[in-house]
Amino acid sequence: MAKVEVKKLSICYVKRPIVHEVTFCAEGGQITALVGPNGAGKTTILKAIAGIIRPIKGEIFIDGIPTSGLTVEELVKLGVVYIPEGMSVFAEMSVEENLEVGGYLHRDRLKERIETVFSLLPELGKKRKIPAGMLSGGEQRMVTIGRGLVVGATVLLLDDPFLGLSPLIANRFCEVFQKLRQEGKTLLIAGQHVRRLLKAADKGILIEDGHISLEGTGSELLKNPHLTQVLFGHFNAVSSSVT
Amino acid sequence: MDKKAIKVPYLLLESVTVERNQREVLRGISFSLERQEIISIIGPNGAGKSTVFDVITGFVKPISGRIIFKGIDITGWDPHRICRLGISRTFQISRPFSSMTALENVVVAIMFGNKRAKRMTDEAIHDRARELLELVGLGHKTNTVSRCLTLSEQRRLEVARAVATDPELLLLDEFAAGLSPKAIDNALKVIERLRQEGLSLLIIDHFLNVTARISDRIIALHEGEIIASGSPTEVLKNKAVAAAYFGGSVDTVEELRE
Repeated sequence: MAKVEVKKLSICYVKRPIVHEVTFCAEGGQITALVGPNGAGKTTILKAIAGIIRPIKGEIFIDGIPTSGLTVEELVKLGVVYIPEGMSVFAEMSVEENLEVGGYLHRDRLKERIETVFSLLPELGKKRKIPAGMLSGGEQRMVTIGRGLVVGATVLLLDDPFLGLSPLIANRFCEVFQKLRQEGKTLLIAGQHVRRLLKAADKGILIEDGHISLEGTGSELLKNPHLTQVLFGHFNAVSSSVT
Repeated sequence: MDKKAIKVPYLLLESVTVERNQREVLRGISFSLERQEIISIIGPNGAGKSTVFDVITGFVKPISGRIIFKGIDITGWDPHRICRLGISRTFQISRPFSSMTALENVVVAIMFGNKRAKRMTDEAIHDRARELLELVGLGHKTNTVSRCLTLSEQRRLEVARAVATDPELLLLDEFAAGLSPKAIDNALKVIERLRQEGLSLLIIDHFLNVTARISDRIIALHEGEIIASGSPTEVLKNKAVAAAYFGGSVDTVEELRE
Protein backbone atom coordinates (compact mmCIF):
# COMPACT_ATOMS: atom_id res chain seq x y z
CA MET A 1 0.00 0.00 0.00
CA ALA A 2 1.38 3.29 -1.10
CA LYS A 3 1.53 6.06 1.39
CA VAL A 4 1.76 9.65 0.21
CA GLU A 5 3.64 12.00 2.52
CA VAL A 6 3.74 15.70 1.86
CA LYS A 7 6.20 17.65 3.99
CA LYS A 8 6.36 21.43 4.28
CA LEU A 9 5.30 21.90 0.68
CA SER A 10 5.51 25.45 -0.67
CA ILE A 11 4.63 26.38 -4.24
CA CYS A 12 4.69 29.66 -6.13
CA TYR A 13 3.02 30.61 -9.41
CA VAL A 14 4.46 33.62 -11.21
CA LYS A 15 6.19 34.68 -7.98
CA ARG A 16 2.92 34.52 -6.06
CA PRO A 17 2.82 31.99 -3.21
CA ILE A 18 -0.03 29.52 -3.76
CA VAL A 19 0.76 26.79 -1.27
CA HIS A 20 2.54 27.49 1.98
CA GLU A 21 4.22 24.85 4.16
CA VAL A 22 1.60 22.18 3.72
CA THR A 23 2.25 18.92 5.57
CA PHE A 24 -0.05 15.92 5.52
CA CYS A 25 -0.18 12.23 4.90
CA ALA A 26 -2.53 10.13 2.77
CA GLU A 27 -2.53 6.48 3.77
CA GLY A 28 -2.99 3.47 1.52
CA GLY A 29 -6.43 1.91 1.75
CA GLN A 30 -7.93 5.26 2.62
CA ILE A 31 -9.73 8.10 0.92
CA THR A 32 -8.35 11.51 1.78
CA ALA A 33 -10.50 14.47 0.79
CA LEU A 34 -9.10 17.91 0.05
CA VAL A 35 -11.77 20.58 0.40
CA GLY A 36 -11.58 24.36 0.38
CA PRO A 37 -12.84 27.49 -1.33
CA ASN A 38 -12.10 28.10 -5.02
CA GLY A 39 -8.49 29.15 -5.49
CA ALA A 40 -7.30 27.73 -2.14
CA GLY A 41 -4.57 25.62 -3.75
CA LYS A 42 -6.13 22.15 -3.92
CA THR A 43 -5.36 21.58 -7.61
CA THR A 44 -1.82 22.86 -7.13
CA ILE A 45 -1.15 20.34 -4.36
CA LEU A 46 -2.44 17.45 -6.49
CA LYS A 47 -0.35 18.59 -9.45
CA ALA A 48 2.74 18.78 -7.24
CA ILE A 49 2.24 15.20 -6.05
CA ALA A 50 1.85 14.12 -9.69
CA GLY A 51 5.12 15.88 -10.54
CA ILE A 52 3.48 18.34 -12.95
CA ILE A 53 4.44 21.34 -10.82
CA ARG A 54 7.72 21.60 -8.95
CA PRO A 55 7.59 22.98 -5.42
CA ILE A 56 9.99 25.71 -4.34
CA LYS A 57 10.33 24.08 -0.95
CA GLY A 58 9.35 20.87 0.75
CA GLU A 59 9.31 17.20 -0.12
CA ILE A 60 6.89 14.56 -1.28
CA PHE A 61 7.37 10.85 -0.60
CA ILE A 62 5.54 7.93 -2.18
CA ASP A 63 6.07 4.88 -0.01
CA GLY A 64 9.11 6.56 1.48
CA ILE A 65 10.63 7.33 -1.94
CA PRO A 66 11.31 11.05 -2.48
CA THR A 67 9.73 12.16 -5.75
CA SER A 68 11.77 15.31 -6.31
CA GLY A 69 14.02 13.70 -8.94
CA LEU A 70 11.25 11.85 -10.78
CA THR A 71 9.60 12.89 -14.03
CA VAL A 72 5.83 12.70 -14.51
CA GLU A 73 6.36 9.61 -16.65
CA GLU A 74 8.37 7.87 -13.95
CA LEU A 75 5.69 8.72 -11.41
CA VAL A 76 2.99 7.25 -13.65
CA LYS A 77 5.11 4.10 -13.96
CA LEU A 78 5.24 4.02 -10.17
CA GLY A 79 1.44 4.06 -10.22
CA VAL A 80 0.81 7.69 -9.34
CA VAL A 81 -1.99 8.95 -11.56
CA TYR A 82 -3.51 12.41 -11.70
CA ILE A 83 -6.97 12.85 -13.16
CA PRO A 84 -7.30 16.56 -13.91
CA GLU A 85 -10.44 18.61 -13.54
CA GLY A 86 -12.41 19.46 -16.65
CA MET A 87 -13.09 17.53 -19.80
CA SER A 88 -9.81 17.34 -21.71
CA VAL A 89 -10.32 14.37 -23.98
CA PHE A 90 -8.47 13.68 -27.22
CA ALA A 91 -11.41 14.89 -29.27
CA GLU A 92 -10.63 13.14 -32.54
CA MET A 93 -9.81 9.81 -30.96
CA SER A 94 -12.53 7.34 -30.17
CA VAL A 95 -13.57 6.70 -26.58
CA GLU A 96 -11.69 3.41 -26.66
CA GLU A 97 -8.53 5.03 -28.03
CA ASN A 98 -8.67 7.61 -25.26
CA LEU A 99 -8.62 4.80 -22.73
CA GLU A 100 -5.76 3.09 -24.57
CA VAL A 101 -3.71 6.26 -24.38
CA GLY A 102 -4.39 6.36 -20.64
CA GLY A 103 -2.85 2.92 -20.31
CA TYR A 104 0.12 3.71 -22.57
CA LEU A 105 2.71 3.04 -19.86
CA HIS A 106 0.88 0.03 -18.47
CA ARG A 107 0.11 -1.99 -21.57
CA ASP A 108 0.22 -5.40 -19.97
CA ARG A 109 -3.35 -6.79 -20.06
CA LEU A 110 -4.65 -3.36 -20.99
CA LYS A 111 -7.61 -4.74 -22.98
CA GLU A 112 -8.94 -6.41 -19.86
CA ARG A 113 -8.75 -3.21 -17.85
CA ILE A 114 -10.46 -1.28 -20.63
CA GLU A 115 -13.29 -3.80 -20.54
CA THR A 116 -13.53 -3.36 -16.77
CA VAL A 117 -14.00 0.37 -17.27
CA PHE A 118 -16.69 -0.27 -19.87
CA SER A 119 -18.49 -2.70 -17.59
CA LEU A 120 -18.43 0.01 -14.95
CA LEU A 121 -19.73 2.57 -17.42
CA PRO A 122 -21.93 0.78 -19.94
CA GLU A 123 -23.01 4.23 -21.19
CA LEU A 124 -19.48 4.68 -22.51
CA GLY A 125 -19.21 1.11 -23.73
CA LYS A 126 -22.09 1.78 -26.11
CA LYS A 127 -20.14 4.69 -27.58
CA ARG A 128 -16.67 3.18 -27.62
CA LYS A 129 -16.08 3.79 -31.35
CA ILE A 130 -17.37 7.37 -31.35
CA PRO A 131 -14.84 10.24 -31.35
CA ALA A 132 -14.69 11.52 -27.77
CA GLY A 133 -15.20 15.09 -28.95
CA MET A 134 -18.73 14.18 -30.06
CA LEU A 135 -19.82 13.12 -26.58
CA SER A 136 -21.71 15.34 -24.16
CA GLY A 137 -19.72 17.21 -21.52
CA GLY A 138 -20.60 14.75 -18.77
CA GLU A 139 -19.73 11.79 -20.96
CA GLN A 140 -16.37 13.39 -21.73
CA ARG A 141 -15.82 13.68 -17.99
CA MET A 142 -16.52 9.95 -17.69
CA VAL A 143 -13.86 9.34 -20.36
CA THR A 144 -11.23 11.37 -18.50
CA ILE A 145 -11.90 9.46 -15.26
CA GLY A 146 -11.96 6.14 -17.12
CA ARG A 147 -8.65 7.05 -18.75
CA GLY A 148 -7.14 7.39 -15.29
CA LEU A 149 -8.76 4.25 -13.89
CA VAL A 150 -7.46 2.13 -16.75
CA VAL A 151 -3.90 2.56 -15.51
CA GLY A 152 -4.57 0.44 -12.45
CA ALA A 153 -2.93 3.12 -10.31
CA THR A 154 -1.82 2.62 -6.73
CA VAL A 155 -2.14 6.32 -5.96
CA LEU A 156 -5.08 8.12 -7.58
CA LEU A 157 -5.20 11.90 -7.49
CA LEU A 158 -8.64 13.08 -8.49
CA ASP A 159 -9.48 16.70 -9.16
CA ASP A 160 -13.18 17.51 -8.81
CA PRO A 161 -14.23 14.12 -10.22
CA PHE A 162 -17.99 14.63 -9.91
CA LEU A 163 -18.09 17.88 -11.83
CA GLY A 164 -20.68 17.69 -14.59
CA LEU A 165 -21.87 14.19 -13.70
CA SER A 166 -25.45 13.20 -13.01
CA PRO A 167 -26.13 11.97 -9.45
CA LEU A 168 -26.50 8.44 -10.84
CA ILE A 169 -22.99 8.41 -12.32
CA ALA A 170 -21.48 10.27 -9.36
CA ASN A 171 -22.88 7.56 -7.07
CA ARG A 172 -21.41 4.88 -9.25
CA PHE A 173 -17.97 6.51 -9.15
CA CYS A 174 -18.27 6.76 -5.37
CA GLU A 175 -18.77 3.00 -5.27
CA VAL A 176 -15.74 2.51 -7.51
CA PHE A 177 -13.61 4.67 -5.24
CA GLN A 178 -14.72 2.68 -2.19
CA LYS A 179 -13.81 -0.53 -3.97
CA LEU A 180 -10.35 0.79 -4.87
CA ARG A 181 -9.93 1.85 -1.27
CA GLN A 182 -10.72 -1.67 -0.10
CA GLU A 183 -8.12 -2.96 -2.54
CA GLY A 184 -5.59 -0.87 -0.66
CA LYS A 185 -5.25 1.99 -3.15
CA THR A 186 -4.48 5.49 -1.98
CA LEU A 187 -7.09 8.00 -3.06
CA LEU A 188 -6.67 11.71 -2.76
CA ILE A 189 -9.76 13.54 -3.95
CA ALA A 190 -10.19 17.30 -4.20
CA GLY A 191 -13.46 18.96 -5.03
CA GLN A 192 -16.47 21.08 -4.31
CA HIS A 193 -18.96 18.31 -3.63
CA VAL A 194 -18.03 18.85 -0.01
CA ARG A 195 -20.71 16.74 1.67
CA ARG A 196 -20.37 13.87 -0.73
CA LEU A 197 -16.58 13.89 -0.42
CA LEU A 198 -16.35 14.15 3.33
CA LYS A 199 -18.97 11.45 3.80
CA ALA A 200 -16.89 9.09 1.67
CA ALA A 201 -13.52 10.07 3.12
CA ASP A 202 -11.54 8.51 5.95
CA LYS A 203 -9.70 11.75 6.35
CA GLY A 204 -10.60 15.30 5.42
CA ILE A 205 -8.32 18.28 4.99
CA LEU A 206 -9.53 21.85 4.68
CA ILE A 207 -7.25 24.10 2.64
CA GLU A 208 -7.58 27.85 2.88
CA ASP A 209 -5.30 30.35 1.17
CA GLY A 210 -2.67 27.72 0.53
CA HIS A 211 -2.40 26.26 4.01
CA ILE A 212 -4.14 23.57 6.03
CA SER A 213 -6.62 25.05 8.45
CA LEU A 214 -8.36 21.87 9.58
CA GLU A 215 -7.68 18.17 9.53
CA GLY A 216 -9.72 15.26 10.88
CA THR A 217 -12.01 12.43 9.91
CA GLY A 218 -14.56 13.20 7.24
CA SER A 219 -17.44 13.21 9.70
CA GLU A 220 -15.56 15.43 12.18
CA LEU A 221 -14.94 17.99 9.47
CA LEU A 222 -18.56 17.93 8.33
CA LYS A 223 -19.63 18.93 11.83
CA ASN A 224 -16.97 21.58 12.23
CA PRO A 225 -18.43 25.11 12.49
CA HIS A 226 -15.33 26.70 10.94
CA LEU A 227 -15.65 24.53 7.83
CA THR A 228 -19.35 25.33 7.62
CA GLN A 229 -18.57 29.00 7.76
CA VAL A 230 -15.78 28.86 5.17
CA LEU A 231 -17.47 26.62 2.64
CA PHE A 232 -21.17 27.12 3.17
CA GLY A 233 -21.03 30.72 4.31
CA HIS A 234 -23.31 32.99 6.23
CA PHE A 235 -26.34 34.76 4.98
CA ASN A 236 -24.61 38.11 5.19
CA ALA A 237 -21.69 37.04 3.04
CA VAL A 238 -23.11 38.62 -0.13
CA SER A 239 -20.45 41.27 -0.57
CA SER A 240 -17.51 39.04 0.23
CA SER A 241 -17.06 38.37 -3.50
CA VAL A 242 -18.29 35.44 -5.48
CA THR A 243 -15.12 33.38 -5.05
CA MET B 1 -43.75 45.29 -28.29
CA ASP B 2 -46.77 46.16 -26.17
CA LYS B 3 -49.07 46.67 -29.11
CA LYS B 4 -48.62 43.04 -30.12
CA ALA B 5 -50.41 41.63 -27.14
CA ILE B 6 -51.05 38.26 -28.75
CA LYS B 7 -50.82 35.27 -26.47
CA VAL B 8 -47.57 33.82 -27.73
CA PRO B 9 -45.15 32.41 -25.17
CA TYR B 10 -41.92 34.34 -24.78
CA LEU B 11 -39.90 31.34 -25.97
CA LEU B 12 -41.53 28.41 -27.65
CA LEU B 13 -40.04 25.14 -28.88
CA GLU B 14 -42.41 23.15 -31.04
CA SER B 15 -41.65 19.47 -31.81
CA VAL B 16 -37.95 20.14 -32.21
CA THR B 17 -35.90 17.22 -33.50
CA VAL B 18 -32.12 17.32 -33.82
CA GLU B 19 -29.91 14.74 -35.43
CA ARG B 20 -26.22 14.16 -34.88
CA ASN B 21 -24.28 11.38 -36.63
CA GLN B 22 -27.53 9.96 -37.98
CA ARG B 23 -28.81 9.65 -34.43
CA GLU B 24 -31.74 11.63 -33.08
CA VAL B 25 -30.41 13.40 -30.02
CA LEU B 26 -33.60 15.42 -29.49
CA ARG B 27 -36.89 13.82 -30.45
CA GLY B 28 -39.72 16.22 -31.00
CA ILE B 29 -39.42 18.20 -27.83
CA SER B 30 -41.84 21.02 -27.06
CA PHE B 31 -41.90 23.47 -24.20
CA SER B 32 -42.37 27.16 -23.54
CA LEU B 33 -40.89 29.73 -21.22
CA GLU B 34 -42.42 32.98 -20.04
CA ARG B 35 -40.71 36.31 -19.43
CA GLN B 36 -38.76 36.37 -16.15
CA GLU B 37 -39.28 32.67 -15.69
CA ILE B 38 -36.48 30.32 -14.62
CA ILE B 39 -36.59 26.79 -15.98
CA SER B 40 -33.99 24.13 -15.27
CA ILE B 41 -33.28 21.20 -17.51
CA ILE B 42 -32.07 18.06 -15.76
CA GLY B 43 -31.27 14.58 -16.97
CA PRO B 44 -28.58 11.92 -17.24
CA ASN B 45 -25.29 12.62 -18.99
CA GLY B 46 -25.86 12.50 -22.71
CA ALA B 47 -29.64 13.05 -22.46
CA GLY B 48 -29.49 16.03 -24.82
CA LYS B 49 -29.54 18.93 -22.35
CA SER B 50 -26.75 20.95 -23.97
CA THR B 51 -28.22 20.19 -27.39
CA VAL B 52 -31.38 22.06 -26.32
CA PHE B 53 -29.14 25.08 -25.76
CA ASP B 54 -27.36 24.45 -29.08
CA VAL B 55 -30.59 24.40 -31.03
CA ILE B 56 -32.08 27.49 -29.34
CA THR B 57 -28.91 29.50 -29.97
CA GLY B 58 -28.45 28.30 -33.56
CA PHE B 59 -25.30 26.22 -33.06
CA VAL B 60 -27.15 23.26 -34.52
CA LYS B 61 -30.16 23.39 -36.82
CA PRO B 62 -33.15 21.16 -36.14
CA ILE B 63 -34.26 18.74 -38.86
CA SER B 64 -37.85 19.51 -37.94
CA GLY B 65 -39.82 21.71 -35.55
CA ARG B 66 -39.87 25.43 -34.84
CA ILE B 67 -38.34 27.81 -32.33
CA ILE B 68 -40.16 31.06 -31.67
CA PHE B 69 -38.66 33.86 -29.58
CA LYS B 70 -40.59 37.07 -28.86
CA GLY B 71 -43.02 36.08 -31.58
CA ILE B 72 -40.27 35.73 -34.19
CA ASP B 73 -39.51 32.40 -35.84
CA ILE B 74 -35.76 32.00 -35.31
CA THR B 75 -35.50 28.42 -36.55
CA GLY B 76 -32.33 28.01 -38.58
CA TRP B 77 -30.97 31.50 -37.80
CA ASP B 78 -27.24 31.91 -37.33
CA PRO B 79 -25.91 32.21 -33.76
CA HIS B 80 -24.81 35.85 -34.04
CA ARG B 81 -28.27 36.99 -35.18
CA ILE B 82 -29.92 35.07 -32.35
CA CYS B 83 -27.45 36.62 -29.93
CA ARG B 84 -28.29 40.13 -31.13
CA LEU B 85 -31.98 39.38 -30.85
CA GLY B 86 -31.40 38.82 -27.15
CA ILE B 87 -30.44 35.22 -26.40
CA SER B 88 -27.03 34.42 -24.99
CA ARG B 89 -25.50 31.38 -23.39
CA THR B 90 -22.55 29.94 -21.55
CA PHE B 91 -20.80 26.76 -22.52
CA GLN B 92 -20.09 23.81 -20.27
CA ILE B 93 -16.53 23.77 -21.54
CA SER B 94 -15.46 27.40 -21.51
CA ARG B 95 -13.27 28.71 -24.30
CA PRO B 96 -12.20 32.27 -23.58
CA PHE B 97 -9.75 34.03 -25.89
CA SER B 98 -6.87 32.56 -23.99
CA SER B 99 -4.20 35.18 -24.64
CA MET B 100 -6.50 38.10 -23.82
CA THR B 101 -7.08 39.37 -20.33
CA ALA B 102 -10.37 38.80 -18.53
CA LEU B 103 -11.31 42.42 -19.18
CA GLU B 104 -10.53 42.20 -22.90
CA ASN B 105 -12.64 39.08 -23.19
CA VAL B 106 -15.66 40.89 -21.80
CA VAL B 107 -14.96 43.99 -23.90
CA VAL B 108 -15.03 41.83 -27.05
CA ALA B 109 -18.35 40.34 -25.97
CA ILE B 110 -19.86 43.81 -25.52
CA MET B 111 -18.48 45.13 -28.80
CA PHE B 112 -19.58 42.13 -30.80
CA GLY B 113 -22.79 41.05 -29.17
CA ASN B 114 -24.33 44.12 -27.60
CA LYS B 115 -26.64 46.15 -29.82
CA ARG B 116 -25.90 49.32 -27.88
CA ALA B 117 -22.11 49.04 -28.30
CA LYS B 118 -22.04 51.29 -31.38
CA ARG B 119 -23.42 54.14 -29.33
CA MET B 120 -21.08 53.53 -26.38
CA THR B 121 -17.71 55.21 -25.87
CA ASP B 122 -14.65 53.04 -25.32
CA GLU B 123 -14.60 54.20 -21.76
CA ALA B 124 -18.21 53.23 -21.19
CA ILE B 125 -17.57 49.79 -22.68
CA HIS B 126 -14.60 49.24 -20.39
CA ASP B 127 -16.53 50.46 -17.37
CA ARG B 128 -19.38 48.08 -18.16
CA ALA B 129 -16.88 45.22 -18.61
CA ARG B 130 -15.33 45.95 -15.20
CA GLU B 131 -18.78 46.07 -13.63
CA LEU B 132 -19.60 42.65 -15.07
CA LEU B 133 -16.35 41.12 -13.82
CA GLU B 134 -17.17 42.55 -10.42
CA LEU B 135 -20.60 40.94 -10.64
CA VAL B 136 -19.13 37.45 -11.14
CA GLY B 137 -16.44 37.98 -8.51
CA LEU B 138 -13.52 38.51 -10.85
CA GLY B 139 -13.03 42.18 -10.05
CA HIS B 140 -9.51 41.45 -8.81
CA LYS B 141 -8.56 39.52 -11.96
CA THR B 142 -9.40 42.06 -14.70
CA ASN B 143 -5.85 42.15 -16.05
CA THR B 144 -5.10 38.45 -15.72
CA VAL B 145 -4.55 36.69 -19.04
CA SER B 146 -7.49 34.32 -19.22
CA ARG B 147 -5.44 31.17 -19.77
CA CYS B 148 -3.94 31.81 -16.30
CA LEU B 149 -7.35 31.80 -14.64
CA THR B 150 -8.42 28.67 -12.78
CA LEU B 151 -11.08 26.54 -14.38
CA SER B 152 -13.82 27.88 -12.14
CA GLU B 153 -12.70 31.46 -12.79
CA GLN B 154 -12.88 30.77 -16.52
CA ARG B 155 -16.43 29.57 -16.10
CA ARG B 156 -17.35 32.75 -14.28
CA LEU B 157 -15.70 34.78 -17.04
CA GLU B 158 -17.98 32.87 -19.39
CA VAL B 159 -21.02 34.13 -17.46
CA ALA B 160 -19.71 37.72 -17.60
CA ARG B 161 -19.25 37.42 -21.36
CA ALA B 162 -22.76 36.07 -21.82
CA VAL B 163 -24.35 38.84 -19.74
CA ALA B 164 -22.20 41.41 -21.59
CA THR B 165 -24.36 41.06 -24.69
CA ASP B 166 -27.34 42.39 -22.68
CA PRO B 167 -29.46 39.29 -23.20
CA GLU B 168 -33.15 39.06 -22.45
CA LEU B 169 -32.91 35.29 -22.26
CA LEU B 170 -29.81 33.73 -20.70
CA LEU B 171 -28.92 30.06 -20.98
CA LEU B 172 -26.51 28.84 -18.30
CA ASP B 173 -24.82 25.47 -18.82
CA GLU B 174 -23.59 24.14 -15.47
CA PHE B 175 -22.76 27.47 -13.95
CA ALA B 176 -22.46 25.94 -10.46
CA ALA B 177 -20.02 23.19 -11.42
CA GLY B 178 -16.70 23.62 -9.66
CA LEU B 179 -17.92 26.39 -7.37
CA SER B 180 -17.77 26.03 -3.61
CA PRO B 181 -21.18 25.85 -1.90
CA LYS B 182 -20.72 29.39 -0.63
CA ALA B 183 -19.80 30.65 -4.10
CA ILE B 184 -22.90 28.92 -5.45
CA ASP B 185 -25.02 30.83 -2.94
CA ASN B 186 -23.54 34.07 -4.18
CA ALA B 187 -24.05 33.06 -7.80
CA LEU B 188 -27.71 32.37 -7.04
CA LYS B 189 -28.08 35.87 -5.68
CA VAL B 190 -26.65 37.19 -8.93
CA ILE B 191 -29.15 35.11 -10.89
CA GLU B 192 -32.05 36.35 -8.78
CA ARG B 193 -30.89 39.91 -9.41
CA LEU B 194 -30.71 39.32 -13.16
CA ARG B 195 -34.23 37.98 -13.08
CA GLN B 196 -35.47 41.02 -11.21
CA GLU B 197 -33.85 43.16 -13.89
CA GLY B 198 -36.13 41.40 -16.39
CA LEU B 199 -34.12 38.41 -17.59
CA SER B 200 -35.51 34.96 -18.27
CA LEU B 201 -33.26 31.97 -17.68
CA LEU B 202 -32.81 28.41 -18.80
CA ILE B 203 -30.41 26.50 -16.58
CA ILE B 204 -28.66 23.15 -16.81
CA ASP B 205 -27.14 21.88 -13.59
CA HIS B 206 -26.51 18.72 -11.66
CA PHE B 207 -26.67 20.40 -8.26
CA LEU B 208 -30.31 19.58 -7.69
CA ASN B 209 -30.59 21.51 -4.48
CA VAL B 210 -29.53 24.53 -6.53
CA THR B 211 -31.94 24.04 -9.41
CA ALA B 212 -34.79 23.12 -7.08
CA ARG B 213 -34.26 26.33 -5.14
CA ILE B 214 -34.32 28.83 -7.98
CA SER B 215 -36.41 27.25 -10.70
CA ASP B 216 -40.07 27.93 -11.30
CA ARG B 217 -40.24 24.76 -13.33
CA ILE B 218 -38.00 21.80 -14.10
CA ILE B 219 -37.91 19.82 -17.32
CA ALA B 220 -36.41 16.33 -17.19
CA LEU B 221 -34.84 14.95 -20.36
CA HIS B 222 -33.95 11.36 -21.03
CA GLU B 223 -32.61 10.04 -24.33
CA GLY B 224 -33.71 13.15 -26.18
CA GLU B 225 -37.27 13.21 -24.88
CA ILE B 226 -39.01 15.13 -22.12
CA ILE B 227 -40.02 12.56 -19.52
CA ALA B 228 -41.38 14.99 -16.94
CA SER B 229 -41.99 18.67 -16.42
CA GLY B 230 -43.56 20.74 -13.70
CA SER B 231 -42.69 22.27 -10.36
CA PRO B 232 -39.36 21.17 -8.83
CA THR B 233 -41.07 19.00 -6.22
CA GLU B 234 -43.30 17.32 -8.79
CA VAL B 235 -40.45 16.48 -11.11
CA LEU B 236 -38.05 15.33 -8.42
CA LYS B 237 -40.68 12.98 -7.04
CA ASN B 238 -41.35 11.51 -10.45
CA LYS B 239 -40.42 7.83 -10.56
CA ALA B 240 -39.15 7.82 -14.14
CA VAL B 241 -36.87 10.75 -13.34
CA ALA B 242 -35.57 9.03 -10.23
CA ALA B 243 -34.79 5.85 -12.14
CA ALA B 244 -33.00 7.58 -15.01
CA TYR B 245 -31.25 10.25 -13.04
CA PHE B 246 -30.56 9.41 -9.40
CA GLY B 247 -30.83 5.67 -9.73
CA GLY B 248 -33.43 5.22 -7.02
CA SER B 249 -36.24 6.98 -5.28
CA VAL B 250 -35.95 10.05 -3.14
CA ASP B 251 -38.43 11.42 -0.69
CA THR B 252 -37.14 14.91 -0.13
CA VAL B 253 -35.13 17.42 -2.06
CA GLU B 254 -32.93 17.65 1.01
CA GLU B 255 -31.67 14.12 0.31
CA LEU B 256 -30.40 15.24 -3.07
CA ARG B 257 -27.85 17.66 -1.75
CA GLU B 258 -24.82 17.16 -3.96
